[in-house]
Amino acid sequence: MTGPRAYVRTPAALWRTLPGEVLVLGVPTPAAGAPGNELVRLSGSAPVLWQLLERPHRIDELVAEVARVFRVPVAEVDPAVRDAVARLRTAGAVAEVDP
Amino acid sequence: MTALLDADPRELRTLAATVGLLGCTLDAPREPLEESDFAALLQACAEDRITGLLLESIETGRIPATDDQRQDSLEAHSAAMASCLRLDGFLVATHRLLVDAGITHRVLKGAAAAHLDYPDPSLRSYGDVDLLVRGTDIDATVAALTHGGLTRCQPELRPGYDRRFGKGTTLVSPEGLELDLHRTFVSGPYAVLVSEADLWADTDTFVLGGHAVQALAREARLLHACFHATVGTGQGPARLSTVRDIVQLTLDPDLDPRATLEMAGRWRAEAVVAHAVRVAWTTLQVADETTLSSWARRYAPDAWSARTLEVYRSGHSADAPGAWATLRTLAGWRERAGFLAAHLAPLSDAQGRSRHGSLTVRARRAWGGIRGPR
Repeated sequence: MTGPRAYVRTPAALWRTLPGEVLVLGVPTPAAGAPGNELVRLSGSAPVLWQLLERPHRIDELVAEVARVFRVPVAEVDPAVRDAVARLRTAGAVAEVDP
Repeated sequence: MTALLDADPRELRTLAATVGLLGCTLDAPREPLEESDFAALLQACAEDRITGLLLESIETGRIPATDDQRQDSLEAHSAAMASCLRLDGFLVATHRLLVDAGITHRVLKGAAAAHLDYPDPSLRSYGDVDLLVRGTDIDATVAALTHGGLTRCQPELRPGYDRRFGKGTTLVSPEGLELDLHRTFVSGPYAVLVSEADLWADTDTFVLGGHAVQALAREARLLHACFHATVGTGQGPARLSTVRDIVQLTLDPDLDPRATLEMAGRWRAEAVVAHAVRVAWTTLQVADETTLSSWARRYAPDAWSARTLEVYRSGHSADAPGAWATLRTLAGWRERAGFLAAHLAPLSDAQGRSRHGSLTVRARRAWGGIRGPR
């Protein structure tokens, strides 16, 4: 039985940091099955999430850390964090790895 | 202090271009601009590819702005960065094509400057991808890239011209992204004076999309920026992004000014460097002095340098005066005969019509070149 997976930026990801937002572009990686070239705009709490994704984190760790930084209940940020991670995975900018 | 308060609001873009330069003596307005004036400033900054510097100026309080103006700047810069990210993706894809084809290459200008010469690549915008390949590789490079789906914009003047005399060529991706493929920095006499050996001797590397891509070493990057600012834009002024690149590189403590000037000397390009550094220091009102900026202020060009610079500055580097100057620069009758043949001999119909008009027109232009500029 495998435990919860972790998520981390892929080496192929390209990004720019702006005040209050991060733009992320996945580069096509056919081997990984990611379509790539999708531009994802992260704003609100998501730039913090992008920083965290520099190293592998489980989804519950990401949610907890974003909640801690913004001093809000975990339940409040949970859907947004999961949605952002899913979008970044689709773009080929984040990959699932062993924790 | 130099006041810009009563100037055309578009001129405030110069102030934006100086953000982070501690020695700059330009004065700033104390109140936010009127909306229409700010819109003009934002437009000017976008044209000069310095929306990142404008936004940084607003964020640091150097240029006062209302909340709406800050938001407009953020949106404009976000659009510019989205475009740069797509260009970076295109650069990575092109890099992979060339690596697969075994072709060594260097990244030039915007992307290299953004990733190597600024504390954050978001401070430097660019509008295309520029790559350098060796003259002997240019045909194979075009073949690899067209096989990979890119389209060459203009046919070669004559077979072998790109490899021997040309500046390079332009290709576009199916998405419309532009790649300028360079053999050297400029057309005209400097196309044969800039030493390929110097360009390939050293390199700086940055990582993009998981790939280590190579750029020119910083001394050659500075010389390229000087060429682009001085002789690469014809009669028009250089973009402020290029002017800032020159200041950024000249102030870099890791730059070797002696090696830079020795390289410029081998290329007979001291006048180009002196002019570019002087203009950059004057435009951005840089107070800091460096070995290069002091040298540039004292430098006086010889007759050949002044005449050659004038050919470029008058916008004639690709016309008869430029061809004449190039012809005189070439060493050896074989090279001269080849250059003349490339400009005089008939082309295929498609090449001739699409690029240089009829044989009569080409012959007249070439004859004008042989007689020399008046």
